[in-house]
Amino acid sequence: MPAEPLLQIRDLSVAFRTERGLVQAVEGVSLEVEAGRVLGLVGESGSGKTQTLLSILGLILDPNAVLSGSVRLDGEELVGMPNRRLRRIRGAKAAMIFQDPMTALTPVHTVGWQIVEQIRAHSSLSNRAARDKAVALLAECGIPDPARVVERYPHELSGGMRQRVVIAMAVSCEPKLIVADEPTTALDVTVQAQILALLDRLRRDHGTGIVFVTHDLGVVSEIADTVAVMYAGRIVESGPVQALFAAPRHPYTHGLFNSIPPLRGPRPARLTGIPGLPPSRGAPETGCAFAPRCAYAFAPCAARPPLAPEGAQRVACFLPGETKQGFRRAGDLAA
Amino acid sequence: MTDRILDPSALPAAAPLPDPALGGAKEASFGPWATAWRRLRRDRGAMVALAILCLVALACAAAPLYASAVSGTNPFATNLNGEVTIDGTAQPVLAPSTTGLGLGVTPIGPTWALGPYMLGADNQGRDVAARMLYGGRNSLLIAGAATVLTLVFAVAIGLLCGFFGGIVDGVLNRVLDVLWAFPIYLLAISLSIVLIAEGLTIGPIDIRAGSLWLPIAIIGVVYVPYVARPIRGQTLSLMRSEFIAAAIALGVPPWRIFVKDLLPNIMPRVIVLVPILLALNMITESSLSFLSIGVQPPDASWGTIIQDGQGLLYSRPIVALAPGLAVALTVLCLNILGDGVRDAFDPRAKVRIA
Amino acid sequence: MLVAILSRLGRLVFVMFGISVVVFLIFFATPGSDPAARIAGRNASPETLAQVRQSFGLDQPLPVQYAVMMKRLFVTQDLTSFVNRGQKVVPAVIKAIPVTLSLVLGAAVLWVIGGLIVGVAAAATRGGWTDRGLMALSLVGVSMPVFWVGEVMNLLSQSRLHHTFLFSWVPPLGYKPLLTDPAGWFKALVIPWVTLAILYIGLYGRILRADLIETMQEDFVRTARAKGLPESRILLRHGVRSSLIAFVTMFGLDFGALIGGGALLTEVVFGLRGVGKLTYDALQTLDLPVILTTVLYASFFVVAANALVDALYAVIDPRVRRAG
Repeated sequence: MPAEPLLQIRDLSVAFRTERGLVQAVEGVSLEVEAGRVLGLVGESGSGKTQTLLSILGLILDPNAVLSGSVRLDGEELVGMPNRRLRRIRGAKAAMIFQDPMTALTPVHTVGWQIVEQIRAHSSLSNRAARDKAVALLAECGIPDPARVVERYPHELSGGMRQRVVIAMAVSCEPKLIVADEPTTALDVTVQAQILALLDRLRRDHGTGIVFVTHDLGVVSEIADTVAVMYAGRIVESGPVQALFAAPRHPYTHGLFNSIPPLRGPRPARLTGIPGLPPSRGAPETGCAFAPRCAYAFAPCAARPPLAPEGAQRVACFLPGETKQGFRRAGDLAA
Repeated sequence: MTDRILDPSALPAAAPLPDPALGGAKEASFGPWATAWRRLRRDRGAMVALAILCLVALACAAAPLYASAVSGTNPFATNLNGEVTIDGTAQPVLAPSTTGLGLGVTPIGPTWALGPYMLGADNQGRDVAARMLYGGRNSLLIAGAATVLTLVFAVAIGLLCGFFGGIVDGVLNRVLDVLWAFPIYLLAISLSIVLIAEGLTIGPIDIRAGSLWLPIAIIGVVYVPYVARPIRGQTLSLMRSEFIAAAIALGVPPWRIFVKDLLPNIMPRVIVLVPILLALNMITESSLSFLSIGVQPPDASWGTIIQDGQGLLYSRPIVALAPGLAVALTVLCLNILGDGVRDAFDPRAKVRIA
Repeated sequence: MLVAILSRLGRLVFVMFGISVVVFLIFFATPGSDPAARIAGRNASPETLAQVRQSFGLDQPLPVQYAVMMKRLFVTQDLTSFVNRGQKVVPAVIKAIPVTLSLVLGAAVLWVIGGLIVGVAAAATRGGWTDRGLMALSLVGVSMPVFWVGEVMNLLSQSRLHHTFLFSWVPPLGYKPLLTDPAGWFKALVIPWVTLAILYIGLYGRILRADLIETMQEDFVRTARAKGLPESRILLRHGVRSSLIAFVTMFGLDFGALIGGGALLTEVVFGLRGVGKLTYDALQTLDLPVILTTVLYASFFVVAANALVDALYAVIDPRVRRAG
């Protein structure tokens, strides 16, 4: 019997009670992350990827949220765990990196203070020792002159520096899992590459598992081992990064690839894109959520397609296999 | 989550609408004003407050009716030696004081029945209940008129500063800076003391001493900087916004931008300020009148009646308590309404004027 | 840094100058009546009027009048009241300052603590009964005229309930100097402190709650949660600490405004002979020189208090500290 993966999400659903009834933000999502591996979670804004991420740490605090399914971290069930116990896991076993480093740090405390705060929340280190550790962490995250940076306030640092601080804080308690919500989106391209390299090094050095949410396919190809593509709260396709990038099998994934220019090879005359807009409030109750925008939609799409294994991937689409295998990419981004 | 449904076609055809009253597609056709009004109407506290305010205003408007038909007393004439028949026995309106040194008088106490001296008399033998209603008229009138005055000046100054910028803004803003640093009560006191005895004459404007226009003008002026500043700020940021830049680039004449683009965008903030300003003005009016630099005798306001009652505080506390309660109730209702209006129009607005 | 300080100082001087000009214009150049008659008080004799004209230089151009006025106020400090014949005004005002300071300082301590407790408790129990109760009380608190609250307090503590254990310790109205009679000072001021603080506790509690609730939606609060901190620590060390900036700004302005005359009504009701009561008495007799002096001194105090707040900013808001 294979050992349980570091993170195992089974059939996770998140819904919100609103004035207009229940709105499904995440529906039936199942994911796995092994230690030392990176899962890329891809999707447009509003596709439920952030909510999935937040629910891993039990951070959906909206009293109107309804959570179901199972999230197991390192053999422990997190869904339904009392907040008191969840708190011991947050920041210690599983840490989170947020999208916007500009607003993710409390403006009125020095970055050192904030790192020390986290260390001391989960260990009995003295203030001095925690401070030394903070300096060491900043150094490890590639911050020059860390002894001085710990005395700085967030507004005195650049965006890239702040994101390094956020990462240093996230890894300060040697978490087994890091969940990162678009950690590079708000950054310049060159800084992006540095941050990706840093995350890659951390997972190799410490064997940390990472869930990496992004809408940037290029970033995914650089860092992820496996990919899951979300659309309207559901996973439509998942699989190993090379296989999926080489031959996407869901029309939506295919559309995503066609809406960015290829790095090599001949450029298409024009980028195709995907017509229409994603549904504004969660998935519709029946049928394939993508059907209204799908060029290939046909009668069976009125029913909900299951996520079924197909080659190296799992795909939620009724189209016959040969059609899907025709979704060759215009370029070869993954190569 | 926004209240608006983006695109009806994005909904599945058979999607049930959970509550027809909140109707989906229909709502999109409402403008921001109608939406705000609907939200306000759903705020039960605010609606109750509004109802009470209407009742208070109505009651005060009916003051002459009360004086002639119910109490039968003249609330403005002193009545030092009068008698009044209550429960079949004649009682003096002002009796010699029985406490202390026996100096002064103790006015008749409240009868708590419709008729003369329901709330007793003040130390000049005047009917407190009737005076309260007349006083309420003045208090409400002053608060309302001063609010209008403040808003007109503040919106004009704020828009001018923000719209023209440059020298106009520089000069006006400096003036506002100075006035802003000036404590409100001191400014009001300075203006009052100078104007109270002689009135004010500037060109065609001629306000005589004792006129209600004096407190209206004074209260109207002192809050202008507090309201003008945020409006100026908002106008400035609007002027930097893209739709105004686009309008200017398209050659839309300035007055049109002013009326069609700026004013409608400023209005929600102005509306939110109205109840708060009214409340503040009620308190300011009663304070100035209490200090005897507001409404002048024989006219009454809730503030002057509280002052009349100060000397009778231990013998006939009702004279000071009743008008104070009236002020507190009115201001409380205005504040509740103010919270409701803010939540309906501009939930993120920071509403504190002074 | 030096440039910043200098420009602040420049602004300060400008605002003070502006205020003195405004006050001067109000008192000496308001159309409609003769300033000499206003200064001399009611029913002044022609000799007094002539004397006033002469000593204030009223027959000279306005700028000269302004200069004469400022000199008499701040340099020679020999401005005299015409109503209370010959009473020197400036020393009288200076003598009254400790009373006002005692009143406002004590109330400030009460309202800062009270406002913090109310605001934090309401925000922490947002939507619950504690929150609703506290907010309702606060709303009532900010809706009552302070002088009326004072009268009700007096009615209870001096008359109706004075004989009960609740208020039997309350001394008759009036002020006792802190240095000669500290216990008396305290007893005499407790009720005025509470009266003055009620309004501000309500105001600060409401504003702090709104601010806190907004702050608790910020990204950095989510970060703090993700760090696994206890909710109370998130509220206090991240939420309240960040909301403190607005709180302190407001405090500075209110404190200044109270010292500068806002406490007037409270002083009048409780018979405390502070600057406000001095102003009030002068109002009753239309004693213009006294009012002129108290208004100017008080406004300067307010401006100075505001400057102090700006300085305090630097202490609590790191963004201002290093940017300056």
